[in-house]
Amino acid sequence: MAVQPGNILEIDALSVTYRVRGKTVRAMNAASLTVRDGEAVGLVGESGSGKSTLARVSLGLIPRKIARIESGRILIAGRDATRFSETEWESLRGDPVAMVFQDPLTYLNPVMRVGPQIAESVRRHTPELPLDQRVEELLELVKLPSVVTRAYPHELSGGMRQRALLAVALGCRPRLLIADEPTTALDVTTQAEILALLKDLRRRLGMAMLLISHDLGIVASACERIYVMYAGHTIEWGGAGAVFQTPAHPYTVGLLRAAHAVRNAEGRFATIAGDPPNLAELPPGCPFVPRCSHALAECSRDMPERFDARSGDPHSVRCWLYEKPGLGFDRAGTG
Amino acid sequence: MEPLLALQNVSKTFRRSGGSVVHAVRGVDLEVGYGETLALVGESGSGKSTLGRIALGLLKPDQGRVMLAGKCLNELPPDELRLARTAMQPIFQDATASLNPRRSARELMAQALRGRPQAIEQRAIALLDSVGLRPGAEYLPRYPHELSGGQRQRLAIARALAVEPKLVIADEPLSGADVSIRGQILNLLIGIKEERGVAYLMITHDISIARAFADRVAVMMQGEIVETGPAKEVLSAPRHSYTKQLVAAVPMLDAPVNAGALEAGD
Repeated sequence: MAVQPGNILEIDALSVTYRVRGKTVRAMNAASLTVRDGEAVGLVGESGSGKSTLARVSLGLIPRKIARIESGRILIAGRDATRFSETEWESLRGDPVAMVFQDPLTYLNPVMRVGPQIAESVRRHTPELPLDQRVEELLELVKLPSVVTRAYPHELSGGMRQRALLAVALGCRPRLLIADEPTTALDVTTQAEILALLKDLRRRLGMAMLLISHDLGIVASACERIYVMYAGHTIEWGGAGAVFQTPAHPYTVGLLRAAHAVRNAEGRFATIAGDPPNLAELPPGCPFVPRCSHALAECSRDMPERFDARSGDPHSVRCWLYEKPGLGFDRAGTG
Repeated sequence: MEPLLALQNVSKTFRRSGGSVVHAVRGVDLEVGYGETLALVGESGSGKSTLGRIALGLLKPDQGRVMLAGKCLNELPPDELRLARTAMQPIFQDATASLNPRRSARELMAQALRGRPQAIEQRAIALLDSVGLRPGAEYLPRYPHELSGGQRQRLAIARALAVEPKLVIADEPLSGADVSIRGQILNLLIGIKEERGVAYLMITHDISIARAFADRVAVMMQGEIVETGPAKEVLSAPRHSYTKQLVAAVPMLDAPVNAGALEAGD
């Protein structure tokens, strides 16, 4: 079926809470993110930023017993999936949206050989295709030798497992592949191979990708557009070059300086002062205020919708420092 | 001058359940000088953690000697060994696993400070202060689960420092830490080194941290050290093909051009 290019995923001002031990944890706070057909979008954030919740909610995978969508919408290929039942979500999983995870062992069936697991996904999503030939094709795509079909997941190396999980996901012919920390458990050389593979697959299949990582270098190397999350808010987004070279939000600036791992004249590393936010006790306004040396009075009241980050590219930031053109950082008395 | 720690021709093999043999460490020579920071880098399975455990005396090498401040640890009787080993303290990746969850910070610190002449409580507070858990007195009654990940790692560091070690062996101390917390822990380690002159053997897979943090680096592959030298030199212009491959695989990030314009939360 020919598909009109558009937004394969649209998260619109989505808020998600978890009930944990009598407390309400605000995992996503009016976060927005769009992935267009065919593009590679990176989502970066630290632990507790809400990035994995965003990935899971995009496939209806948040635990219904404790999680609740408070407001906002999820649109998959233009369909409003916010209030979908489990059965309705089931019809969207794999095609048009598939997902791979940090730990493939958790998602591959441990007592089933790899071949039948790939075949299962082919049979379900493209029953019209010759099965064996399609499995061969998928293995070739993820660059695994065909002997792997007879192996059990535990017999494979970490990199091979991730390739096997990718083959299962690609068997569904997704329009969007969500990859949640796909290389975090891997060694650097294997990580580089998997990243190269993901880029190659995107090019060959024309599929969109949402790559989620805490590692800024990985996202910078593989994505065209970037979203930055902090305490459940999407605080900055734009072209990869714009966000990484001219970060706008004080948090993104601090994060990039810290990630750069260079010591200053006093021999110290760049840090962000203070502790990560407690999602059960978020202050009103911008959640970064307690750690921000540029905070203005309005920052503690509410968070702006979005301002132009004025880096010359399409680049948005949710920070009051950018309220008026030409002011930027000067308003806070620096730079 | 003799080195603080010297591993001499150390080897260790493990037997797998199937009967096959893994040569985890093969004839390694490695030295850490007084006050020196050495990074031991390599991928998983390279043998770097095994080597760290041998240095700490947690594993017996099949062959070779572990010399600490001129004494051969393999030859010391148990009670002398215990005493000699206090000059060396470990910090692990997972502070949660290395701190007894049923002990408060006060109990954990008291345990480490046992047998010291000074008032234990005061010393514990001073140590907690020095690792940035301020005011230290407020942290004494807390249990590990009441601390954030970064705070737990600080408590683990405070406990390691309690015995005034000459060498801290840190096995992936930053792996669980977020980028914004990483710098805080590294700066803490740098400050401790400046104040107390401790040496570090940091075992890490993170090339960019090793390059910036360490004086010297040793690159390990399949149980052997394939390249060693000044950290900046080796990890910027590697000679060995494996080091080259390792360095090239790290996705590099340039410094943001406007980083100076906005100093985030200093």
